[in-house]
Amino acid sequence: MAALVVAAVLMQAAIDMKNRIKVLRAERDWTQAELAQRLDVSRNSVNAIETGKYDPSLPLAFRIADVFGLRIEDIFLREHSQSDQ
Amino acid sequence: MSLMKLPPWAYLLLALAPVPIMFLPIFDSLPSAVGKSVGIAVLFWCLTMSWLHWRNLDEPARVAHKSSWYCGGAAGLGAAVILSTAVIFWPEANSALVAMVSEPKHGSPESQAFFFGVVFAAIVQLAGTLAAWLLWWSRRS
Repeated sequence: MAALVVAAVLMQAAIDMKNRIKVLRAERDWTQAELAQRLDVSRNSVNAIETGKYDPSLPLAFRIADVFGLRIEDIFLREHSQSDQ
Repeated sequence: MSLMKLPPWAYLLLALAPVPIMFLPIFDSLPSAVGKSVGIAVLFWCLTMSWLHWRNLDEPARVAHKSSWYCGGAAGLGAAVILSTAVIFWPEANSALVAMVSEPKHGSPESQAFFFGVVFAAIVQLAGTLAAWLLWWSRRS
């Protein structure tokens, strides 16, 4: 059982995500507040997502993709750890 | 700006606004039926505003609430159990508690003691939830 928990934690660590929201936002000259308004979330939430401290759910990720006119995989990237290679 | 689309924090303030009414001295002198009706109306108002608060929260804010309630609330309840057990073995606290419930304004000493127990557990649980909520956001800001 303990091994399963450790494996789950390691797998979680292996699929950490990063995103390109800050770059995409800068390209459009949007502030965090403007993006928050378009997504109908708070600026704190945009900041948490942008800095990778909060991973959005699939519906919110689709909304973010729609706002930028891109696909989810163009915005959220899998951050490969050494265990993946 | 309609009542349905205020900032989430505004609903919390609206929910808590009528609560002091329950502690006004005049509340005790009201006829029992009127007092109960006011109490139920305040409770209904609090629940409605809490529902509107939840409805206007975005996804990360809801996750913060759920996580805080689960972790902080559970830890708070655990602390309440430990503290209430400690009261039994702490003579000063024990006699203070007995003095509080010995001459209740309403109900029997037993029902008053039960009420204090529930309120105490709720306060400690809310304190744990608040601490966990602050920690959740401080790690993501």
